[in-house]
Amino acid sequence: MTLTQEERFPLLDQRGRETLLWLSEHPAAPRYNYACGDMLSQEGLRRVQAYAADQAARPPGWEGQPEWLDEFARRCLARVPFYRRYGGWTGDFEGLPTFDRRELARQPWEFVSDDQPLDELLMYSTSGTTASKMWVLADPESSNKYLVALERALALAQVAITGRTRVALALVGHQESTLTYPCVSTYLGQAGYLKLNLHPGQWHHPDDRVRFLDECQVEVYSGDPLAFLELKKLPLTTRPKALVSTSMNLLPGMRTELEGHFGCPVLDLYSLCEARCLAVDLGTGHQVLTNDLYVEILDDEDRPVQRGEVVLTGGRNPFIPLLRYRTGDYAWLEMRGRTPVLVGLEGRQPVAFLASDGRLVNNIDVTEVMKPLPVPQYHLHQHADGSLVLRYQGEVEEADLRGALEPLLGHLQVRREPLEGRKMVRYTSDRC
Amino acid sequence: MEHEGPILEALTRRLGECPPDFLAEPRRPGGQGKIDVAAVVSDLLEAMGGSPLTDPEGFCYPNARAVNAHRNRLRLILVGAWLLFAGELRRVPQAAERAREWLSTRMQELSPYVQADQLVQDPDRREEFVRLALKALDLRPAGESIEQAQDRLVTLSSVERARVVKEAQAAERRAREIREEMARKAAEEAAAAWGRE
Repeated sequence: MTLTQEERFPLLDQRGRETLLWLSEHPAAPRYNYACGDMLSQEGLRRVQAYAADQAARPPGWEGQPEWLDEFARRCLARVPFYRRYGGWTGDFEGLPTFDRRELARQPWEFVSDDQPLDELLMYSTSGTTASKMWVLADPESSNKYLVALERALALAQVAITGRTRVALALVGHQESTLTYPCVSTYLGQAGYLKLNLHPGQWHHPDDRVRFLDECQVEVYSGDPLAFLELKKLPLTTRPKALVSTSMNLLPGMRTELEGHFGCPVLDLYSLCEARCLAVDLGTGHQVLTNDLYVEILDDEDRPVQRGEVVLTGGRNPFIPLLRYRTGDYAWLEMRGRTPVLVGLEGRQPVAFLASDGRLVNNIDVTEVMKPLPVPQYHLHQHADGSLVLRYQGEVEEADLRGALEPLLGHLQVRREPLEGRKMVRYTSDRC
Repeated sequence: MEHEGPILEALTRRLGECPPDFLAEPRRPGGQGKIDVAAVVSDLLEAMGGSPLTDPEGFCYPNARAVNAHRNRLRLILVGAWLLFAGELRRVPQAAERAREWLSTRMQELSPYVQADQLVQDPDRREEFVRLALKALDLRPAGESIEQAQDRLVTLSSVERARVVKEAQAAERRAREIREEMARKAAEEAAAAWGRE
C-alpha cells in the first residue's frame, strides 16, 4: 500500500515541496528505491519541539538515580503487560529483573502500554548487529525525536544544523543494496533529508554522486566508516559541518583520517534500534545524550559492576518503554560530574584470545592496539585449534596490521576482504 | 473447613495492614532486594511448632536469570506468610505442614493472575485469600457453617475466575489489536523507515 505525499508529510510547505521535487528530479539524483516521510502532525511537531526545549534546559545526568526513575518503573509495572507479570512495585528499583532483545523480539506487543493509542503506530524490522530479525514499533514523534538527540550530539562538537542549505542531513551507506529515498524534515525547517547509497551501481552515472552531493550542500553526513571511506574518495568541493559515524566502534585512527580529510569533527554515535541515539563519542567516551535515559552497568546477575553490560531504562519510544533492558553491549560507566559517559564501549560480551605464548589476551587490549590504525571495519576470530584470523576492510596494508597485532597475540593470519554487516561484531572465538 | 477459626474480618483487616517488610523486594541471588523469603517462611514454620526449612528450594529464586518468572510468586508467599503469622492461625493442628504446602503450591497457581499488592488493597481478593488460607488449615470463619463457608468461597472464587477470564480476554483483545495494526503498517511502504541509519 502506497501512502500519499500528504500522508507522508502532513505539514509539507512550499519550501519543503520545492526541496522534495528538487531532490527527486535532479538530473544527477540517484536511483531512489523507496519513498517515506516524517509523518509528523502539528501536535507531533509541537511535542518534538517541546522535547528539544526540555533537553536543552535539563541536560542528561543524575546523582544516584534520576528523579523520574521510580515513577517510570511504577507505571511500567502497572500498565505494560510484559512488566505486569513481574508482580508490582516494591520501591526497590535494583530488585527488578532485567530482560534482553530475545524477549523484546518474541512478542513486541507485550511492551505496548495499555493506554498507548495505536493510531500513529509505525513499524519496521531490523536485523541488528548480531541478532535475528525483530519488529520495532515506534511513532512519528519518537522517530523525529531522534533528530533532537542528534542535535544534542552535534552541539557537543559545537556544530548546529541550521536547515538553511538544501540538505540538512544525509544518511549514507556503501552497500550492494539498501533503502534510498529523498525526504524533507519538518522539524529541521523543511530542509532536505536524504538516505543514499554511495555504491556506484545505485546511480545513473558514478560521477553523478559528486555533482549531486555538492549541489545538495549537505550540512551533516551520517553513516558507517565504510561509507565515509567511499565518501572520502569522491572529489567533493563542499565540506560538511560534521560526520556522524553510526558504527559505534570508530577507531581513533579512522577518526583522525576522516577529520583530516573533511576538516570537520567526526562523532561516533551509540545507537540502538530499540532506543535510537543513546550516546556520542568525541574521543573520550560515549556521553549519554538525553535526560530520559538511565544507564546501568550490570553483571550476569544484575549486580552493578565497573565494567559490564549496558542496561537501559527509559527512552523516548512510547511503544518500547525500556525497564532494565540488556543491550548486549559492554562498557565502563564513568560519571563526569553529573554526566554519564560510557567508556570502552564494545558490542557483545568480552572475548579472551589465547596468544601463541599461552597468555590470555582480552579483546579490549586488541582494540587498544588497533586504535591508531585507520581501519573502518575488522573482525578477529580464534578457531577452536587456536589459530587467529583477522579480516578487515580499508586501505591499511596487511603487514601493518600484522606488525601491530603480532607482539600481542603471536602469529595470526591477516586478510583484507569484504565483511558482512555494518555494525560488525569485532571479536569472536570458537574457544569460549 | 471442619473447625471454626478466627473471625474473618480480623484476618482481612490484618491483610490490609500488611507491613512494608512483607511487601518489600524478595532477596535475589546476587544480593539485591531486601527480604529473604525462605528465612521468613522458616520462621513461620517454627512459630507454628514445625521444623524450619532445611532447603530453601521453592522459597527463593532458582537462579539469577529466573527473576522475572518467580518474583510475583515469592511476593505472594511473603503476603501469605504475613497472614499466617496471625496468632490464631499458628496454633492450629498441623499448621506448619499445611502452611508450607499452601505457600509452596497455591502461590504458584495464583501468581499468573494476582499481584501481591492486590491481595492487600482489593477487598474481594483479601477476603478470598483469607478464606483460601483458612481452608488450607482446615478452618472456616467464626460464625459460619461449613456450607456457608463453602458457598461463600465458591462465590468469591467464581467472581475471581470471571475477573481473571475478563482480564485475559481484554489482554488478548489488546494484543490482537496491536498485531492487526502491525500487520497493516507492515504493508505500508512509507512506514517507519524514516530516519533509520
